[in-house]
Amino acid sequence: MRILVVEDEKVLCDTIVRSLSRLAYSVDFCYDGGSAMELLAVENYDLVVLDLNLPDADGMTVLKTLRKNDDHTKVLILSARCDVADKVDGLDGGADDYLTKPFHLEELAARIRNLTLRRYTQNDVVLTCGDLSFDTKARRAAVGEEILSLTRKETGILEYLMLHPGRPVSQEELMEHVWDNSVDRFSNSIRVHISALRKKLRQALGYDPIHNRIGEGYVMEDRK
Amino acid sequence: MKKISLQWRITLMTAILLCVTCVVMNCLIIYSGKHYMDVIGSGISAYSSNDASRESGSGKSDEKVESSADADSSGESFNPENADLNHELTIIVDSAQESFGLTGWCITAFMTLLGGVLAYFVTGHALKPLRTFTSQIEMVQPNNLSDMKISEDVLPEFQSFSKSFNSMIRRLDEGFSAQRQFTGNAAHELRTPLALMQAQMELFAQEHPVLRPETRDFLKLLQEQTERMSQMTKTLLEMSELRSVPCEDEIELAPMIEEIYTDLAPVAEEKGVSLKCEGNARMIGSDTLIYRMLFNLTENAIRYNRPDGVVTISIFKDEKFIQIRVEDTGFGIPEQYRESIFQPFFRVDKSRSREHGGVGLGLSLVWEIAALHGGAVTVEKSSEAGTVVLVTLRR
Repeated sequence: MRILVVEDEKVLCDTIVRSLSRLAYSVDFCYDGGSAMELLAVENYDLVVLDLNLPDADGMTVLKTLRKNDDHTKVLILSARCDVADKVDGLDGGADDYLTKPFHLEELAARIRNLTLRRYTQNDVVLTCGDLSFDTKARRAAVGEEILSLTRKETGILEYLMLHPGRPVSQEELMEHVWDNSVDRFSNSIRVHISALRKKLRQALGYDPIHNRIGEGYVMEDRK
Repeated sequence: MKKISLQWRITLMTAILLCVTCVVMNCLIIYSGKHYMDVIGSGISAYSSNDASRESGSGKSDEKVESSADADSSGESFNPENADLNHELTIIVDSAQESFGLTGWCITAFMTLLGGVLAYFVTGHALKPLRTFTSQIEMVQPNNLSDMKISEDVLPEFQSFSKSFNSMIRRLDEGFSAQRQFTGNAAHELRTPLALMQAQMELFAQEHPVLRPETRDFLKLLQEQTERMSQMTKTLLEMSELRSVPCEDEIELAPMIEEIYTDLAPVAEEKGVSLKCEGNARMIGSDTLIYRMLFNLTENAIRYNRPDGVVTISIFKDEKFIQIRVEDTGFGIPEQYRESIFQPFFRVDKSRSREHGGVGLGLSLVWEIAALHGGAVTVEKSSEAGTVVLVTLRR
């Protein structure tokens, strides 16, 4: 798995590279937009960790140049810009994920894992998160041996969240993937289902694996 | 006079002017009308008296009639000598003069009224460009400054006004974008070093799984404080970017509070605090911001509560406003701090608050969010038995 890290802050770049190398990725790096574009033109990467404020050519330019003739390289934007508008621009411009600084290395690793493994997870029949397991074939959630009784909506939400661990999933995204078009898309109805699901999980597990990051979305995490 | 609208003001002034003109004109017309009626009356009476007393000499009688008509303008134009002969004529002239005057006054009153009513509508029509202008100005909002421009193709009187208004909008827009630029830069400048520190410490912990206890404690302390600092930066940025958040979501409050209670259930359980919610309402606003506001208030109510206390949120609504009361059974807020708690970085009890964590921006964020939604937040009452925080929002 080859990863390119583009980050102008040299120490931070170095830190990310060292951390990712420890996870057995083969990592290249560069400090500006120009060399990033050169590297991307010559080499074949699976994923790019891309800063937006870069000397030479900014991150959006790099992203757009890459997306002109390459759709399969995953791009994770890692930026200090935290405006919703910036995120939307980045994701619309072809990025696969957006993480704002300051961040935890663990979260970065989780998101990279999530992006690069996404195509294999479909073959995985049973998803797990701590003691909680979800059988994607039988569409059943269980804690240890005990099977949880969940409604159809709750099952859909849980499955989607477990398919995307470590990354916040927004209400809109859940609505798009879990709800069908016929259902009332009034945003508050999703709240009720999530609250109910979280209560059931808390009762069964003794802790709540779903965390709500206000303004970002729901994250599935192993422990508190 | 100051409170009267421009349309009414112009109407009133026109009506007064019309009234004065009409009255003066009427007086003059009545005066000259009566004068000429007298002349006609005297002419007729002179003719008939000549007829009756041709022998006594016409010249003398003529002179007398003329002089009496000249001297008496009020219409008492009868000559004692001609009284018998002209009595009937005098009465006719008299009553004609009277009804002439009356009709004149009636017409004056009617015309003044009609003129006033017409003036009202004509003024309304003439002031239409002003109303269009006003509605254009009303459409200018902080978030659409860059695309807004008042049409300069208006009445000559408004042209300089709309020009200066446009240049004001431009300057405001420049100011706002400079501020946004600054915030963006500040974000980058603050967050990058923080990200660096955080990443470095985490990497160090990963690379050195076995540490001496002092080093481990030291690292833990550093990590906690960096985390706190990044929270603070995040909240400060959130506050400075509040105004650019669109407030167009349809929100239902009861499910939202239900979810906040789910979020905070672990904290509440730890303290043994029970959570209750009464009422429901729908409103338009920013979902994320309203969530943040209610979350912060609930979190505070739990944090500063007694063990085994209660937090109750009750929602009331009327035609215009929604009132949300967050009630706790905590220790209360001293009288003198009830307003300052909404200021950034304010803490009632410095030493105690540190244990509770937080960055000291929670309530000022609440205050800003309430203000952004056309409302306000106050401490309604507070005693040793508990505190009630009241949020009023426009629907």
